[in-house]
Amino acid sequence: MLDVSLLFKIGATGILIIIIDKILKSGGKEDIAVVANLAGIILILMMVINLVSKLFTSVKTLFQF
Amino acid sequence: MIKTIACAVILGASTIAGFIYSERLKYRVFQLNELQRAIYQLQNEITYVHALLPDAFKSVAIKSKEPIGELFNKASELLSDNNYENVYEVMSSAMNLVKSKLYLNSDDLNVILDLSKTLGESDIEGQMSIFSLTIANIKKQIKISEEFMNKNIRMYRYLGFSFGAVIVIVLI
Repeated sequence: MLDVSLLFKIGATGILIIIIDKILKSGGKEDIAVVANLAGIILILMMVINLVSKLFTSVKTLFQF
Repeated sequence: MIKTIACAVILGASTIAGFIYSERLKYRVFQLNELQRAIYQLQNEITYVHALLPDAFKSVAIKSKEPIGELFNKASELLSDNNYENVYEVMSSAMNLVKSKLYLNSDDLNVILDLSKTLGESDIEGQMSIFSLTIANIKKQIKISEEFMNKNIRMYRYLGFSFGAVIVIVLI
């Protein structure tokens, strides 16, 4: 069973990253906005990396006889 | 329960940090205005009263608000001690002494240092022209700092809260 709270967490982080991006762009700091976006992507990747690795191992075990 | 309190503390702390950082911009504008007033006063002391530089600095220090007053007070004390070669060295040492209280950036400080390079080294006419140049530069810096303040003061406040919220969401 997939943990639904992780989805909410990713959603909330995404919304906040969009807000930070908007704030930085309205302040004329486009370059920092890009860095903030990248940081957000890395943050969310770190959240899901365990699940992705689990998926890979389960796929691997599926094809091993 | 403890988790909720900890999240609230993190959110509150980052919001306050954002507010404190945005206040620095306000302080910079305030200190630049005070500096402008102090330079006008120094000009009066030198061109009309013909006061000696340590006395002129002292008089400006008494009439200025902190920390600009303290800067001129320290400069006056260092000038009276007679341990330095010129006014420029005195001014840069005085700036280093009160650096922690100044919210001015290096461009603002350079305006004062440029003034101190020629203080007491020419006649009244020369001093007048250098003062008018310094005041023009200070006015330019005030304009730049006001524009920067209006543009960024709200941004830092919102960013403080947003970063706190991101940290809280990651920690939950």
